Formats: sequence, structure tokens, C-alpha cells
Amino acid sequence: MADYVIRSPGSAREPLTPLTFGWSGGMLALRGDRGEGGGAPQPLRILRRDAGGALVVLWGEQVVSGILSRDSGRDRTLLLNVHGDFYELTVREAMLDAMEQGIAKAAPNGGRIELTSPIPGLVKNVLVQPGDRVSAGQNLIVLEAMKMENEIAAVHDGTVESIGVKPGQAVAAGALLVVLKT
Amino acid sequence: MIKSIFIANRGEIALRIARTARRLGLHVCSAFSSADTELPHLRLCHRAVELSGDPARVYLDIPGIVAAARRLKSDAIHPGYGFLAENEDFATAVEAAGMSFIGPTPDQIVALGDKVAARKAAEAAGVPTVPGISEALAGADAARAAANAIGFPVLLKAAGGGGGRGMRVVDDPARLAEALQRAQAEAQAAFGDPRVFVEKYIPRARHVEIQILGDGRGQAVWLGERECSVQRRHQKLIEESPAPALAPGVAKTMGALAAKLAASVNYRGAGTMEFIVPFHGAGGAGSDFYFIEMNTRLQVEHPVTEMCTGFDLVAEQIAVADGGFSPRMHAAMEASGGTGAARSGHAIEARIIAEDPDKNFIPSCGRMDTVQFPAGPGIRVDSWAEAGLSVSPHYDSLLAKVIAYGADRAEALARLDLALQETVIHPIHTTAAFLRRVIASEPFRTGAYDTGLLAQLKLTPPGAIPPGAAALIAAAQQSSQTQRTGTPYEGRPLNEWVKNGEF
Repeated sequence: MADYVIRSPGSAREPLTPLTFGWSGGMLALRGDRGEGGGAPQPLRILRRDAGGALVVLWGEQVVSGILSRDSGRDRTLLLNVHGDFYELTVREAMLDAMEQGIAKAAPNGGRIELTSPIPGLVKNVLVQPGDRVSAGQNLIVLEAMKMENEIAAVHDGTVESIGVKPGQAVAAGALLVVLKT
Repeated sequence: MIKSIFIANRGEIALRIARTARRLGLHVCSAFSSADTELPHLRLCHRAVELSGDPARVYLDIPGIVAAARRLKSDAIHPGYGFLAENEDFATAVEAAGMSFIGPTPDQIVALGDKVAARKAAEAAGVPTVPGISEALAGADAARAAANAIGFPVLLKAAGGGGGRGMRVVDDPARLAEALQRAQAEAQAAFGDPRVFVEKYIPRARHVEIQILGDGRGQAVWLGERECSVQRRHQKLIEESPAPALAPGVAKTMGALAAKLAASVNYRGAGTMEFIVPFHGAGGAGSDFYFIEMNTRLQVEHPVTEMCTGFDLVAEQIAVADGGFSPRMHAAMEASGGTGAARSGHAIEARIIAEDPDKNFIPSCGRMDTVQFPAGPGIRVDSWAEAGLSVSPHYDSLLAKVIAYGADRAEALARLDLALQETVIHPIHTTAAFLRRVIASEPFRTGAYDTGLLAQLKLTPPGAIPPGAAALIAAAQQSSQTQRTGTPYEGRPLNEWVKNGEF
């Protein structure tokens, strides 16, 4: 079971590219195809989480709403309403807590961001080298998981400090992929 | 053409503005402090960003607010009330950044927000002002000459602000010089402006205000009056329209003069002209009135006017910022022929404030576990409060405005009484039960009340209304005679929110 799975039930078109990221703060980010942030992945930040499960979520700068299931156990189902399109995410409780912290705290300037693998998988390609300047949204690693190629992109402008994996390497969820200096 | 609006405020007014903006099909943006991530207006925003920094200061940060609005590609900013709503530097910065300021021009904020300048504008437009002088006092000699000409008691007032700061009643000529010095020091500390002027002190008065809307091109319409005399420490608690005890035709005269004054300065947007009406006791209808100041923004109590006129004042503000009156407002102005937009029925607003009326209104902060609001025919609730949210010590303590409308005053009052019973907020203390006792009091029910009402009633828990209102009023009149000796008005704690005056 991955840390999260994104489905788009009942939507004829799929306006969200189901690109997923994990990093040291455990933040989840989505890339949209509607020009939000110039196509760069935008973090999901939970602004408000009511006892009944209603959420107000900031996706980048867009305000979207969500409903959290009452599932017991460590996995929760999050139904995200992005401008009328519903997306279902299965998210670990620990990740929800991290999503309440916010990107500003996760990636301050002059800080260090550890990009970790959101899911177990196989490293298909490493697109950068230590010392490279990268900008937010730039693809760094291609990871094959769940029979799909997932691009892991920089969540913030910065410099690649180190790379923790090689092409062909199998990684577990949470494995350190890239360290960025911001 | 305004397509995207940025709300530079928080709380109930941010939610109220967002509702109208969404209804108009606008793109709605805002920015929130780190203490405000859970506020309900954010649910109605399309986009939002956090204002990092001290939550008590970020809504006053002009460059920060303007940068956030530009970043979210807004083309107009609504300032709400309080914070930067009457700050000419903010209006200037918004316009310099290529956005519309939904409010008057910076020049109008300066000219009408300054009490001395506003007095002059009123005199020029033929609007009566309180006997006094329309110049800042140069010193003790000038004060003595002016006070002798006006006649004691006099009221020293700060030109640059409100909320009771820099304000002093002087009964005794021997104490004038010292009072002036203190008022100037207080005004300097509160508003950075030591200018003080002098007016005749009117010990017993009602506070009646006129809602106006100007198109910025020399046309202005008035939208009825509001009686706002139920106050404690200069903060309004109950407002109603029509004013219950004005002599026939007085509101119309005041309204026409207010509209004339607004038109004379090409006023743009919504504004309120405040008047005082000397109180002549129960049964005595007020017919003399004096202009005191203008508020160049939307007022907290604007829903009272909306209920009686049917206009959405935020929509009308946006229309004016977009170029002029809406067709409906234009038609209403034409149809009235200077008698003000058509009004019907009676509306009363009660402010539910997070303070404990039984403990001298000390603020009550913390998490709200239970929040229940009324509903039903004629009831409107403007509020940000929801169970699970917290009342923050950083901001104004207004939780909700409960507004009751009825075909007449009796129906509105009966609805408000039930609505206040239905209002349950726990464990935060609020004014809900206290205001029920106020509206049940004899002076309020008969409409024969002035700004001294709360002091007269001396409502204490458990809040039985003492019988014999006439005796009460007589006693209160006596106490107001003995209390007005050289004492400063009681001010609220000084913070940036208060600096702009009360709302």
C-alpha cells in the first residue's frame, strides 16, 4: 500500500495530472493542467480540519475544499473538490498532520529540502547532478511505480546538494532521493 | 471592469464581502494571518495567500497587502472597515499599483476623515455643525477665547481620530488649560497628530447617522438614517432604522443635507455622516441636529440600511468603483427626487461581542465549543463564528451581528428578542443576553433613549429590568449632571484597530 493513491472517479476528463511528491515534511503536492503555478507542482496545505471531517485546503494559492472519511486505522480517504471535480486520495494520518504545517515552514529560503520517495518503486532515470541549479517544478528523478512512470520534481528553487539513488535502484517509500539547498 | 476583487480584511466583514463578490461572479481573493487559517470567508475565496508575520500587524501592512493583491492578480481591493479602510496611504498605494480602491479617493479620505476639515466642508455645504470653532487650537489662550465664546461646558476633541481618545469634557474654565494639554498629548500618542479643537458639549444626545452613496462625479443619494445611541465606551451595541424618536421630517432634512455635502465634494462610494441630536427627555422629539463627522467607509451596521432599502451596499460600492451608480441605484435616486431612496419596515441590529457584560465588558478569548445562531422570517446573521473556531486576542471582539427586520418596530423588536434567545455561544462570554435586557428596558422600548442609556440602566446580573422607568431616567439625569466634571471619556485600550475610531 502506497502512502497515497489518487483516483478521479466519474470525471470524463482528468484535469489533474496525478503527480505525487513526498519530501521531508511529508507534504503532498499536485500538478494541475490549468496553468496553476505555471505547471509546477503545488503543495496541498490543510488550512482547516473540522471534527466532522470537512477540510479547507490551499492548493498552491487556490482554495479548494475536501471531506475526510471517518475510516479508522492509519489510512484515511480524502475526497478533494477541485473546482467541482472530485478526487479521492487515500492518505496516511501522519501525512495529514504534515499537510497542516504548510509549505512555508517546509521550504524556507536558506534551508534544506529532502525529497523522499512517496512510494516504493524503481528509479528509472536521474535527470540532474549535484551542483545543478534547479527551479521549482523541474523534473529530477523518474520513478517507476504501480506500472506508471512518476516524475519527481523540485518543490522549490535551489541547488542539488546530493543524490541518494542510482538508475535501476529499487527504493522503499520514504527513501531519500535528492537533497536541495534553497 | 472589475473582475477580480481582493478582500483586505478578516472576520464577518470579509465573509460578507466575499458573499456579494461571489454572487456577482467575481474572482475572489484574500490574504490571511497565521492566526486566521480557519476563518470561513476563505472557503468562498478562489485564491488566498498567507501574510507571514505578527498576526496583530499583518492586516495593517500596506506593502504586504498590496503585494498579495497583485500576486493574486486582483484588479480591485475592498478594505472592509477598520484596519486600512480609512488610510489614505493605503488608498494611494492601491491606486499606484494599478488597482481600484473600493472607497473614496485618497484626497476625500484626508478631507473628510479629518474632523476639522470635515466641519469646514459641512459649513460650506450649509450643514449645521455643533457650535464651536473649525480650527485647531493654537494654545491655552485661543482655547479660553473659544470656550468663552461658545459657553461652558465644552468638549475638546482630537482632529485626527476618534474612539474617545484625545477627548475631554471641560466644565470649569480654570481647568481648561490643563485639559487641553492632556487632550493634545493623548491625541499625539493615539494618532500621531496633536491637533485638538473645541465644541459645545451636549451632555444628553442621540447619535443618528445618515448612509450616503456618492458616484464620484457629483451625484449622491442618501439611504436612510440609523439610530446608534446604544453605546458603551463609544462602541455601538445596537443600531436601528428608522430612528424611533426624531420629529417628523427631521431625518429627511438631515439626509438631504448629507447627500448635498457628499455631492459637493464629488464623494465616491459609501459613507456615513454622523450627527448628534440633542435629547430633550422622554416624549421630546428631536428636531435640532448637528453634523459631527464622516466615516469614509462601509459601517459595521450597514445591514440595517440594507434590510430597509433592499440594496446590497457592497454591490453598490463595487458598481461605483467600476464607474458609477448601478441602474437600480440611479433609478432610486431619480425616483426619490432628493427624499432619499425608498425605505420600508424597521430593522434593528444587535452586536454579539466576545466580552463579558457582567464583568465590565472584559474581553473573552478562546475556543468556541458551541455556536448556535437564529434564523426565521426577518432574521439575518452576519458572523464568522463557528463551533471549533477560536476568538483570537489579536483582533476586534465582534463575533456576530444579529439583525431583525419587521413591518414595524414592534415586530422587529419581538423578532430580535427571540433571535437573541436563540443565539448560543459557549464557553465564550457574549453580549447576547445583556442586549436582550437592553431592548426589553422601558427607555429602549419607547424609543426615548440617548447615548447615556447603558449607564442609566446599570444592568447587572441576573438582569431583571427594574420597574418604574421614569424614576430611573430621573435618577440618571441627575447622575449625568454630577458626572460630567472634567473627567476624560473612558477609552478602549489603545491598539491599531481602535486608532481608526469606532465603527
